[in-house]
Amino acid sequence: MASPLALVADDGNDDRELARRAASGDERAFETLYERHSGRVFALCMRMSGSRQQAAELTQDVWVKLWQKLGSFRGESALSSWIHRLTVNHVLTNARGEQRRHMHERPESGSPTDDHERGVAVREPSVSPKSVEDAIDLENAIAALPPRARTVFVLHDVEGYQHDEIAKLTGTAEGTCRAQLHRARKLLMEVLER
Amino acid sequence: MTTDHLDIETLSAFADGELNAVLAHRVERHVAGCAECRGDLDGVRGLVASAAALARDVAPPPEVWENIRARKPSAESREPRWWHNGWLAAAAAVVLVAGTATMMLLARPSGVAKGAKLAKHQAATTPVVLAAVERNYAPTLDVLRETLDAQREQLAPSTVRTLEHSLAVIDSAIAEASAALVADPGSADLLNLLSSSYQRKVEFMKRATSLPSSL
Repeated sequence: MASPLALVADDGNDDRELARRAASGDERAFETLYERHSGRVFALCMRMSGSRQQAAELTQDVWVKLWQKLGSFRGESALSSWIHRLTVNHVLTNARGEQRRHMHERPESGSPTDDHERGVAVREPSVSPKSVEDAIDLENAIAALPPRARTVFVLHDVEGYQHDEIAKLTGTAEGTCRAQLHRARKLLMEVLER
Repeated sequence: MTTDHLDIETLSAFADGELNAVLAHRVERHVAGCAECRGDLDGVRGLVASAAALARDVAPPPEVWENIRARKPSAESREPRWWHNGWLAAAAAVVLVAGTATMMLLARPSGVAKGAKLAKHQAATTPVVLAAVERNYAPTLDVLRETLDAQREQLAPSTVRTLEHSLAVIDSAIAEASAALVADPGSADLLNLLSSSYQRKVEFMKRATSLPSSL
C-alpha cells in the first residue's frame, strides 16, 4: 500500500516555487498548482463524502482555504502531502459541522445512530437499500456505505492511512476504526457480489 | 466439510494480521478445509487490492475552478508568509527576554560572600573564560556570517534590515552578559546567560541562512 505521503506526483522544488509565487499573488502559479493537484483533492473529497456534488463544493472550499494558507507553507514536506492533510481535515471538519446541524434540526430523533454518532455524517442519508441495490461498481458501493464506515475504508484501504492515524483524525478509538473497516468491507462484498 | 462458516469481519481481521496467534491458527485451519470461507478470504483480499488500485485523480467539474476564482481571497485575507510574522517575531521575543534577564541579573546583588582570595582568582580567570566561550562559538558564527552575506542579495531589503537589527540586539545582549560577568566573575547564572546568548545567535543565524531556500 502506498503511503499517503506519496500518492500525488510532486515536482518537489517546482511545487515549492509555485507555492511561493502563488502566495505572493501570482494567479497563474496558483492555477498551475490547481491543475496538478485538483484531481487528487476531488477524488479524496468524492470518496470521503460519497457525493460528486458535495465533493465539488468541498474541493472549492479546500482550494480557497489553500490560497489563503499558502503563505504558511514552509516547504518542510511535499506540497502534495500538505494539500492532502488539509483536504482530509477539511472534509472531516465539514462532516462534524453537518452532523451538528443534523442533530440540531432533528432533536426528536433521540440518541444518535451508530452512523451519525460523530465526525463523518454527510448530507445524504446513510445507506439506502435502493442505492445499494443499484451499485454497480466499487466507487458506487463506497459512496453508498454508511458515513463512518466509508471514512475509515477510504482512509485505510484507498489512501493508506494506519488505524492510529485515522483514530486521531476522527477522534475515535483505534478499535472502533478497525471494527468500522471490517464492517465496511463486509458491506462492500455483499453489494459487489449481488 | 464444515457447515460453520467464519464471518467476513473475522476474515478481514485475519487478512490484516490483527488476530492473535491462537485465533489466526484456527482461521488458517478452517480456511484450509472450507472452500466457502477460502473464497470469502480471497474476496476480502481482492477488495483491498481493488481499493488500493482506484484512480488517484478524478477530474473535478469545470465550474469548480471558476467558482474558486470568483472566491479568490484578497491579499489582506491571505496569511502572510511565515518568515515575516513567525520566527522573526519569536526571535525578537527571545532577544527581549534575554536582554531583560540580563538587566535583572545585573540589578541583583550576587548575595554570595566571597573571600578576597577567591575574588582575586575569579577576576583573574574571567577574561580566560570569556575568551573560551567566544572561541567555542566563533568558527560556527564565522561560517554562518559568510553564508548570510553571500545570500544577502536574495533577500528583500526589509528582511535584511530586520535580520541585522535582530542580530545587533543579540550582540548587545552578549556584550551585556560579558560585561556583567567581568563585574561578577563568580556568577554561574551570568556564565549560562552568556552561553545561551551565543547559542541563540547561532540558532538565529542558522534560520536566517535557510531563508533563501524557503523563498
